[in-house]
Amino acid sequence: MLFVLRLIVVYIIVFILWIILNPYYNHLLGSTCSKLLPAFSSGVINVHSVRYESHAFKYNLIIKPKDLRPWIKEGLRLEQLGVPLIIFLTLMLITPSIRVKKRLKLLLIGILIFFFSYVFLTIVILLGLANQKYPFIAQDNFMGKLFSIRANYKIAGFFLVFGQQFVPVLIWLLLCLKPLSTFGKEVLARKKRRPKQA
Amino acid sequence: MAKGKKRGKEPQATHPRAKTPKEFFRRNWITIRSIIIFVFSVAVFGLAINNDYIDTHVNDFFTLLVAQASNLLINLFGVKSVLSYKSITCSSFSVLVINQCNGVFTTGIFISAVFAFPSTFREKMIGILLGFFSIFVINVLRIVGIFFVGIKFPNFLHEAHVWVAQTLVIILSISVWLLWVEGFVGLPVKKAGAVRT
Repeated sequence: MLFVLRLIVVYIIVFILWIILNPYYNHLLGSTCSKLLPAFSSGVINVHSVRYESHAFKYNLIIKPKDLRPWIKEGLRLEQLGVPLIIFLTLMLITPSIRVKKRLKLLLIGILIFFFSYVFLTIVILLGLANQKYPFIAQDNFMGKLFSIRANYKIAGFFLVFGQQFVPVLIWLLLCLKPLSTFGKEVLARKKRRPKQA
Repeated sequence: MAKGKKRGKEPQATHPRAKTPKEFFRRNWITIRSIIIFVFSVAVFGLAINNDYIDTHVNDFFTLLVAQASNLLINLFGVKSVLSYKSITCSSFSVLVINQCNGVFTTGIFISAVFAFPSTFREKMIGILLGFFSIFVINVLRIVGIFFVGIKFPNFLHEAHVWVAQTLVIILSISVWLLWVEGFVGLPVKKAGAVRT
């Protein structure tokens, strides 16, 4: 019961912090993606801008294929990729059996891994969506070279759900599995010590 | 115990850093194995639910089940709603339960985490059943909650759906997993010779 109470309190605090910091976080994510996206698409796909409109961040891409006039693809909403930060931070803060200093260290490492994982996921999803919309640009980027156009669209959708639900849990587990194993051993030892009830 | 020695002051075993990769793997084998099992089983699960056949037959079935349960609960709360395939409709609001909303992927993550954590076969089975039913209930409550937010506070529907509900489902699922670790892993096993896998 105490655990559930702690979970709710931590979740509310993280959620309020996230509401305040989310625009800055998303701008950082967007600007990092805009710097890296051309490298993943031979310069064909670039982020034109990231705008906050009607509760969501929208990526506007500028697509510049060879021998063709560039154009802008507007309004790719990827706000779901901002939300997993709440999951990750809450899980890091409620994990039992970690001392404060160690928790802060893990949190710092975790945020860095988390951020770059989402930069990569955002790039993969943007490329997948752009390839599906304009198949002739697929030959110039790694998503198009690796997968068929239909797979591009499916993979983009899959990575959106994957990034939303699995990646924060995976990074948390990678960082906290050792403390969690210690926690498991402690639980086991506690149960062994407990006298058997009639 | 030696005279005068205080509790908690016993010399603790030190763990110097592993000198070779082999030693590191040997020492952390359980942790590494757990991560491999977790990632592999989520990958298998992810590929399976992306399969067209499974998507049409299994995913659709679960989505319908979730929609039916949600509709039943909404009616129990006194709002007259009608279920039409995967869509729940009342006089002022309507939701469509899509396959991504049925909690199957979250259940997959939960089951993978149960597989990964060192425990006996019996404990794993308890974990899977616990996770399956808990996530189903959490997901139904999420849909019912979103439905009521849609009726009473339509301006906050987007925030409730994308920000609150989706994060809460994952966090509550992981909490159920942590509660399983604390409540069920390591319980006295009746069967002799049960092996932790």
